[in-house]
Amino acid sequence: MQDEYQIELFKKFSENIDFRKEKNVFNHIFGKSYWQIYIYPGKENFNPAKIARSIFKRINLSEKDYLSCTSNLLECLKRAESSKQLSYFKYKSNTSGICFPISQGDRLYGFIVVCNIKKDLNADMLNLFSCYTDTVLKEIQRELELNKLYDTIRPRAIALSTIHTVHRLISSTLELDELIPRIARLSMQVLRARRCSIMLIDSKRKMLMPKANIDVKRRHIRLKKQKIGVGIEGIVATTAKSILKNYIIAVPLIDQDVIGVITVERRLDNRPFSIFDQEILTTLAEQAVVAIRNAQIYEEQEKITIGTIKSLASILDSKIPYAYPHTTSFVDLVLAVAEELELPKEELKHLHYASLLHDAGKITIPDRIFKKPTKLTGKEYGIIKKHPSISVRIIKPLEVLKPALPIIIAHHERYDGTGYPKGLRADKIPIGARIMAVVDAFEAMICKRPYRKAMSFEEAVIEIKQNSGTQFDPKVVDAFLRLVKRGVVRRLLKGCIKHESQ
Amino acid sequence: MNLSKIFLSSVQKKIILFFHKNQSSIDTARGISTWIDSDLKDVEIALKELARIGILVVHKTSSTIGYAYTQNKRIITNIENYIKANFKL
Repeated sequence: MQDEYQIELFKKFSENIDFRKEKNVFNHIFGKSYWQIYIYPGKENFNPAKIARSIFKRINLSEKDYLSCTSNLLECLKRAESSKQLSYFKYKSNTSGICFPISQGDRLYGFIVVCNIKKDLNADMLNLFSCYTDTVLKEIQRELELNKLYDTIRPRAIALSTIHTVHRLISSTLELDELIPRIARLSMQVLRARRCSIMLIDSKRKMLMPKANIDVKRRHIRLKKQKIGVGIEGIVATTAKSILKNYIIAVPLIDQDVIGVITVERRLDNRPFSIFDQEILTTLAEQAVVAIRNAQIYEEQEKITIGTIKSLASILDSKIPYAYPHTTSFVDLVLAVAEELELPKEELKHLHYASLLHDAGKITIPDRIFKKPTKLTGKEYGIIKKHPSISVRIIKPLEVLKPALPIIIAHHERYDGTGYPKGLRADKIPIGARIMAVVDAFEAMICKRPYRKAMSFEEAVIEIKQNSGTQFDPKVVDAFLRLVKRGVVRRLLKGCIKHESQ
Repeated sequence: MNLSKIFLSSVQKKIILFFHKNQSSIDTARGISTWIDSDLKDVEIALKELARIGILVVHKTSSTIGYAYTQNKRIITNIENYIKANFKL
């Protein structure tokens, strides 16, 4: 039986330009001869008599010549079949023929039969024919091997490149909220599925908690918790073994133990999922686990860092009871203004740190200055003005707080350049510091001081507006006023306003 | 979506044919330029245009931009029909 390679080989042979050139060359040498290529159908089906008859039917021979020619060619074909080498035969008195076997190693693919050669064939001529045909055959076989290699390697290389790109896309974020939906979207894309969901185990509640549920039509659909051990995802979580059905694949996310399950449903083309799809999802799951664990560790680390900073801030605040500590909502309000200005996540984090510790330097200011009911002297004001630099000096050894230092040192700068300690202007002041300046001033205005009464909320808002462009960045003031309009500021500072009005 | 106009660009044509044949593929501009043997700059421009039209989907992070085939069945069917009618593959 013919195989694909054999069919392709003969197709290439008949189309090959060098083979056509060979025919022309040898037709000049042999005289006009008859060429035919035959596919070898295998030992059981090989019928050399049939081939011989078919050749000589096309050449007009007498009945007597037909029989002798056919038997000579038959013998030649049998010799070529067993030896896999060129064989020649004679018929009539002055006519020859060549039988060239097309083979590779022990495998015989077919024959080239050349008849009606009106010349005596000597050894040199036969060698020449053999070499030339062999060269053409080897070229064609090389081309087919390269095509086969290309067809084998290329799709695998493309798949590998996809896995690599997915890895890069997954590894580029440490925010769990961003990471998990991204993993779901990428999995859906690679597997051409209509839906992908990712659930992580909550070991305390013994439940699988949905973290992403992406559908190709409706981007966000209702998320449902699942008991471990119940349903496909629950069973996968218990057994740590994948489940493959026609229209669903569920694979466990394993990091020493099962931490969750990733599920894809329904291919876009409605074909059933295959083992190959399951293997791909397993590879994606392995990548996802590493990324999720990294993000979880990062999140835990962030919590520890914030906790440490808050503790430090509490300790410092407790050492300076008269230094007008900020309300508990001060940080929330600073971050709300920053989010209104759409600051990137990384900057929000540094601003968070800065807003907790910016007044650390006040620890060096004597209490009598804070308690003084009258205006401060120049010298006393000079002491106050040093606190941003002192804050920086206290915090500097903490490497994680380094990006917050420029905000801390500049939080008393004024937009018009008349602030302290460096007299920075406009955009030279870090945006975090410009935000803190507005919130700090507003909070101070609505809170009571030894030397003045608290302003009303509305009066404080007017004061902020009036100082836009001088003390405060107009962009920041606009963002702040949008939050005022939406009731965010009043809600966050409710405790302070209510307390003062009492 | 005027596919005849889109396919006038040889780079856009190559990209669409590549993704239509390898629908599960997600790759960067550099990767795609390798697969379709085209200049990286031309590929980047073509990818942006095809993403804008909706034939490709962009997966973007701070460090990587990956491009993938649309999952919109209507677009895929239109492209399938166009390819069948116009190209001997």
